[in-house]
Amino acid sequence: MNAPIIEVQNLSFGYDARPILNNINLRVDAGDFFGLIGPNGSAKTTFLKLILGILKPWHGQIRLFGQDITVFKRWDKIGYLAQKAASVNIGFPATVEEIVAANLYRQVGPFRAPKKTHQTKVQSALETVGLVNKRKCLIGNLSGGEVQKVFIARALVNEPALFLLDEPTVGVDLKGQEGLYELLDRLNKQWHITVILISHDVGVVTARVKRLACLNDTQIFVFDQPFDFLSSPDNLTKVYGQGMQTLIHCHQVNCKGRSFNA
Amino acid sequence: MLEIFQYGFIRHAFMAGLIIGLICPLIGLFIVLKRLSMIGDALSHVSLAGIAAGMILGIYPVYGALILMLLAGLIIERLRTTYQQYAELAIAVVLSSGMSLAVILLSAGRSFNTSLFTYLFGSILTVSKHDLFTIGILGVIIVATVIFLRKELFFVTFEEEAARLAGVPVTLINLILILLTACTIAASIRIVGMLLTSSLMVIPVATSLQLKRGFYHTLILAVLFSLLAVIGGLILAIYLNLAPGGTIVFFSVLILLFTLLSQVIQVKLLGRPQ
Repeated sequence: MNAPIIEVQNLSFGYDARPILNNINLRVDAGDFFGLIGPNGSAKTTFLKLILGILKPWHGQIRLFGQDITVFKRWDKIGYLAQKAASVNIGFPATVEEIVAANLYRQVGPFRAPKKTHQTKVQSALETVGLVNKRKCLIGNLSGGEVQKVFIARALVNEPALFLLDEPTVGVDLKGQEGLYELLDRLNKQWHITVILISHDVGVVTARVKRLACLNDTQIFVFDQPFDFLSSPDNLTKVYGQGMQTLIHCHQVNCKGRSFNA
Repeated sequence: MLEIFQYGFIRHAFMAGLIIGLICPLIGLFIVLKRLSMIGDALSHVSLAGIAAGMILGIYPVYGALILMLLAGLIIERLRTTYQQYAELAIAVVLSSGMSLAVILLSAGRSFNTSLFTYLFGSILTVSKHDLFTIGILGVIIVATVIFLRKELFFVTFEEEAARLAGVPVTLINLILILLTACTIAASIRIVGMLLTSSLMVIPVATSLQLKRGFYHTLILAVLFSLLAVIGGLILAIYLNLAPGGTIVFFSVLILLFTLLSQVIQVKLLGRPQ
């Protein structure tokens, strides 16, 4: 078994007095490609923000890379692509290079100018996402898919061991989505980066990830084989309700090379 | 034309003008990109209350303005977190409070006089050595802070959440930015006047944004446009005996119009994309 990257134990959280996550337990190991799905309002983004330390849990413990989150300092080991990254102010006068380099803040340090090694890291991150030739372009002159790649490069510039993505395909066309999933596959398989992907696209996520979890009604349901989730109508009903099950029936779903009518 | 520089007060006015021509767009770019363009206006209105208080208490009015604006800056930053969804409400609240306090203090102190006029619209004749010293100190503080914190200011202005995750002390940087804004206005009151100071923070930035360059190029262009407006505006004010606040801002509006017009010509006549 690989070393645990994220360990969540008996985690509870809510807004005001209303609990939205109750007694959540989860372990994600190094090398995992982990999918997180659930209906709107099921606290998927909130769950990521708890892992990132942006929100503080009511109860329970979160350990990152074996360390309790309250003493964890190596945040540069975690890359994060926020859901609203796609809706960032694209009129901002910044080049691709400037945006990616900004995330090296911890490495460069306050009051210091970036060195050549930092510039090499920016170049390498842009090569990974295929945007080297657009490094001098303004973000406002890029397509939606390219903007998303800039933010992925920004997350990768610190060479993270864990990459969290929140709905990365919003506003990206089908070709762009395919490219994004291929990139995530490559990061996971070749670079051994642990990936956690939040998505609404149940069919695509179950086909791509190694493990899957569904959040709904304050609970988490973990499936070690994503195929198990779709193959049982009870699972779909439990997470999305009766309507979603009917919808899935209408689609031919291809899961890890196995074609079936869900 | 160079003979005008034989007069000490004109040399003072130009030196002070060049300093504010540098610092106004330097801070203005961050304010505009954070969509807080009106913050300059709010603090300017507060500065009037500070000037009135200074006149009543017999202290240097620019110090009165600076102290009250620093206080107002802290209040705006606090209110911005209270009204997260309506950040502009914090600005409106402070603007109204500042203006009402100014009117009360001015009428109580019987301060509606020519001295007040110079603070409202700026003046060349009254820039003393003391003014120049204060403007110089504030200028050095502002330029040095922006140079030292350029990475932090850029990241916080672009995206606060990502900056926080990258380890940037976002709350502190936001606070520093608003305090620097207060210092910029305090430095500019003598030349541009409180009514038009925020314009010099915004218009050169609006012009440089039209040229669609990277961040640091945009910053340098905004400073150049602002210096051009200050030099042109001061010369116009001296020769036509006008209040420099009006002529400087008018000059910067002309530069903006010229830039917009050249953009339109490029697109319409030469077919170049904007």
